Amino acid sequence: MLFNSLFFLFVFFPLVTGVYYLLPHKFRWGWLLLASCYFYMGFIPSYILILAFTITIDYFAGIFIVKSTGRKKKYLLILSILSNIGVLFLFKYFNFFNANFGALAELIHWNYSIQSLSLILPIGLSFHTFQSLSYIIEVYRGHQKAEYNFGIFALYVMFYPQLVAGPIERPQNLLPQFRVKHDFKIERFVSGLRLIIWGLFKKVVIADRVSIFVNQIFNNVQDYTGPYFVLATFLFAFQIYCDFSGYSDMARGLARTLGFELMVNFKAPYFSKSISEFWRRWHISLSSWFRDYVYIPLGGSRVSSFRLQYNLFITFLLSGIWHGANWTYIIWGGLNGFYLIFALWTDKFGLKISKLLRIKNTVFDKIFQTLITFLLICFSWIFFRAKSLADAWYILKQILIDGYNLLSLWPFILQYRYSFIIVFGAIGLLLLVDYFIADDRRLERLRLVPLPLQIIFCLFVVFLIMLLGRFVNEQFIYFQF
Amino acid sequence: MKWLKKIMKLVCIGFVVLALFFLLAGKNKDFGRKFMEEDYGVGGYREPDGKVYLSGDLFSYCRIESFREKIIETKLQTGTPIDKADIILKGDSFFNTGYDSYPVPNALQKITGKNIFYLPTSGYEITPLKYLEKIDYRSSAEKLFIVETIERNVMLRTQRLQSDFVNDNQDGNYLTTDSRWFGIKDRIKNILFDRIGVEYFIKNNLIFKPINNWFKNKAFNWLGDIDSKTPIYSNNPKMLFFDEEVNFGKDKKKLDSINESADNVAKEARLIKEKYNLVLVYLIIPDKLSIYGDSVAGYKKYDNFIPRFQEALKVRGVKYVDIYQVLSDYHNVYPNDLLYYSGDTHYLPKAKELLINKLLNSDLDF
Repeated sequence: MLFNSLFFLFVFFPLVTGVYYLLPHKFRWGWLLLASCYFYMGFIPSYILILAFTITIDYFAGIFIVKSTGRKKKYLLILSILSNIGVLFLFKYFNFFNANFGALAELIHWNYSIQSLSLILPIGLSFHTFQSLSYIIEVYRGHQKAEYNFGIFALYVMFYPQLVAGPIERPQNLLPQFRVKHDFKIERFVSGLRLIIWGLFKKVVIADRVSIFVNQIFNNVQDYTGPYFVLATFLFAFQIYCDFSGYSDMARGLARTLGFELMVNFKAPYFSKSISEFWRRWHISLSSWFRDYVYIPLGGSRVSSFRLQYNLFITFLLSGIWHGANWTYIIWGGLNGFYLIFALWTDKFGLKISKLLRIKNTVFDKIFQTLITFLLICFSWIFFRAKSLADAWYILKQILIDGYNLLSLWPFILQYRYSFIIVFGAIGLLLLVDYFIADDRRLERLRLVPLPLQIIFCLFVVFLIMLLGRFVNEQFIYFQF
Repeated sequence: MKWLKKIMKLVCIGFVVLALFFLLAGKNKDFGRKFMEEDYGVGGYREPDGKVYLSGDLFSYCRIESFREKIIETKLQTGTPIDKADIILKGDSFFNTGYDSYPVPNALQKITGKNIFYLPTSGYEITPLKYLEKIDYRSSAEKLFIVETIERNVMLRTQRLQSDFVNDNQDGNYLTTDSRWFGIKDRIKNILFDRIGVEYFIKNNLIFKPINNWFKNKAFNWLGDIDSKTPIYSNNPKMLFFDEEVNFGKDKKKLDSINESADNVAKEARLIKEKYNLVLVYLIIPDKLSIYGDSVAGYKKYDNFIPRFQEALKVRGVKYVDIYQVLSDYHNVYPNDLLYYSGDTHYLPKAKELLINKLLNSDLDF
């Protein structure tokens, strides 16, 4: 079920939220679990069994880990991690590795004949797997008590607002909230609705409108030239941001209407002045997951310079693989790792240059850094969006040949002039809001805006959604991960 | 604060009741219909004079009033069995529909006085050969078998032909397990998880539909925005274009695929002639965009798909009737005399008349 579907907005959400508040506290978690199961089964009903399998293993693993010590404790952790990763590998990575082994075997004339599997990837598998892993690791480290109520543990993994595309929550934040009685509070409810509306605006007005152009160009690369790829890459940067952050905003808003607080997943990432800042603002729940469970265990930054670079590169490579079983994602992850390493090499040099030119911390310096960061990120999006590495190379070649010739886009823009006016207008509004979100002090000032004005703005956004929204049941991009 | 809580509780109950109402009305169609306008077919409506008109399939997607049509539909009359027919026709909606005119099979029967059997094509499910095999058609005197298809579906339908040849048994029984169990399972799945009916009801109920239409018209009038099912349109002449034809127009149809499709048609034509003594005649109806593309700002030139495909058929000895040339010539000479409806994908009676004239004046033996 999609958050932007009419069924969700007019039936599922009001029914689940309304009944939730009408029920006594002791029945609420059961109701939410039931609703979450139904939500998940809306995609492929039988896949709930896969989820039930990993939930059962992690539930018992958590309990036994708490009760064990020494090697046994470690073995239980490994067993749980292997079962989670095993399911993930089977559904998401087996065919990729199998195909690559096959290609390698053919190269060395080795008879390799393992068939590919024809399995449909369970929706949001990577998200709930990582959330389960987070629980197990935290229990192992002693930072979290084991959850003895199977239903509440299942709800932690399956809580419908964040089940299929995050934010990837930590048990310390989410689990205790299921035991707290959430009374209906009008301010909190309205604030949740505000997030839902803003997320929906990003998704149906920007992302789904932009996707028409992006899909057309990226899915038929041979038919287009450099300027089209420049335009499509720029649009994709906003499509993926609005699609994913729109989902996250809606997830947080939906949870908030029920009284739950989920972590902030995006914080105006395109206002970042460096790649490292971008990763502190983009998909924060995943970045912090990799930081806590991969980067820091590898040694983090308190190691030699070479080791630090290695740690960064490995972390981002894994992040790339997490996104999908395709070389394009691996290159994308590696590229971001390389950006960070390159920043380490040139940090001092850049500082010297800006001091020499006396532009350090000036508005020009900030705008320049923001633009450079945005362009670097856009460059990496080419690999992320391209259907194959061959397509990505083709796109890059075309951009190098005549990507500068943007005037040749005029007939195309003329043909879709109305859509482009709407898209750029909506992106303008998005950047205006993000300008306030990017800085905590500005965000505080935004919160001081009188309530009537806030309500007027919300109604204006609702009006825009109804006027310009594309309700075509377009799936969220991150559902596939 | 107690009163506020009470109000909120009532609001909650209200939302739950409304959601339940949508659910019930969407799942139980008889109940749902009580809260919707009467159904008169695609975009159909009843005028105060009591007559029912169609407003066009493309209009029903975008709902922009300035594109609304006022079409009177004449239903297709069938009757001649295939073994008594002098001519066999197979076609999609361009043959079926009788918009402000008779459907093509009826018109042809009337003009030629010959018995016509008509087989409607819905989707891509059955090829002429498959159909003849299925009904165990008995070969007799040589007859024409005219296959009509809209341009945007040519490749889909002809590529599919190949898989039919390759895998003759694909329509066989694939359900080997107890089908009763599957029936129950599907019904439960349908009741629990099918949301199409509910979404349709939410969109089209008596309250939401006028609101939705108002927003669609305002978005068009203020910002030129239109539904994604009709992604481009022209103002002079006023024309909506269907997304399927727009996408087909954008696709590069490579020579290899055209040849592959033409090979399939030729193979089909040969087998039909050998087995049933029928002469296959291929007839492609141009997409509206292939004729009126020049009226859309920035739209690239027509890629000449139909002439290229017909040339490939000619090389392989397959008979065809070139309607594209007739319609584009007419459009060039009389640009103000429209050939297609503004708010519908189909052609106007004038284009149908040109088509029938072309058929009758061709070298085919009518």
